Amino acid sequence: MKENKIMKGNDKSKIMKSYAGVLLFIALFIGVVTLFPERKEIIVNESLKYFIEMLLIIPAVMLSIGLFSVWVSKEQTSRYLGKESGLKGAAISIIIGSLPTGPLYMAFPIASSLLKKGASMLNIVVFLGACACLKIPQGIVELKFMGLEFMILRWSFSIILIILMGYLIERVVDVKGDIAPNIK
Amino acid sequence: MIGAAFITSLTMIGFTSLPLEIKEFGIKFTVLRNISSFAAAILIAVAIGVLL
Repeated sequence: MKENKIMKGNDKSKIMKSYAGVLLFIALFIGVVTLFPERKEIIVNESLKYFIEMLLIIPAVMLSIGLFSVWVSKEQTSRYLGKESGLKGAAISIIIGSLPTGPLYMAFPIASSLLKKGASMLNIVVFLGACACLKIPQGIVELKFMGLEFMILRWSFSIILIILMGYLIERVVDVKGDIAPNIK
Repeated sequence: MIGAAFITSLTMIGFTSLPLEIKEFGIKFTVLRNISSFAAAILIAVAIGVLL
């Protein structure tokens, strides 16, 4: 999708823009390495770690988004996650979000494909929120380090506030006007 | 209390993924979601600080 957009635009500034982050990173890397040569190993190791993480996760996520868009119909999505789904829809979004699906940056493409399929804004926000702070693998670590009481309190407050956030954003953001231009 | 604020804001506000979020959902949604996440993080922290 990204490549198509670049091809369609067909001007150099757009291509430059999509590589701006990489160029900035390279410039920063050269700058830091010349100033602090002893840091080079840490930087290379960490970058490599994240690069491998992305390589492992992105194909799986893209594949599941593809299968989702073929197998799950629009009616099903809007029935379970649409405007009329109510608290049941929010509960489903929290359960999907807390499944171990990788870091937050992988949740955005998933959320946008859900939105395309007719999920409501409330459920999208709830899904993103749950994906960010109610992950099951993260919860296990939290339980170990912070204790059960802390975890139960934080999870229950998070669930309440995420749903509130969803209501708020659903009222303010208009799917057609504010988001539709970004979804193609 | 500080731990709760840290965990919640750390995970909910994706600073590095902001460009991606803007690309997928537009600037208005992104700003709103991140600001309200920040507010939620502070609220959760205060609530846990009072209760624990």
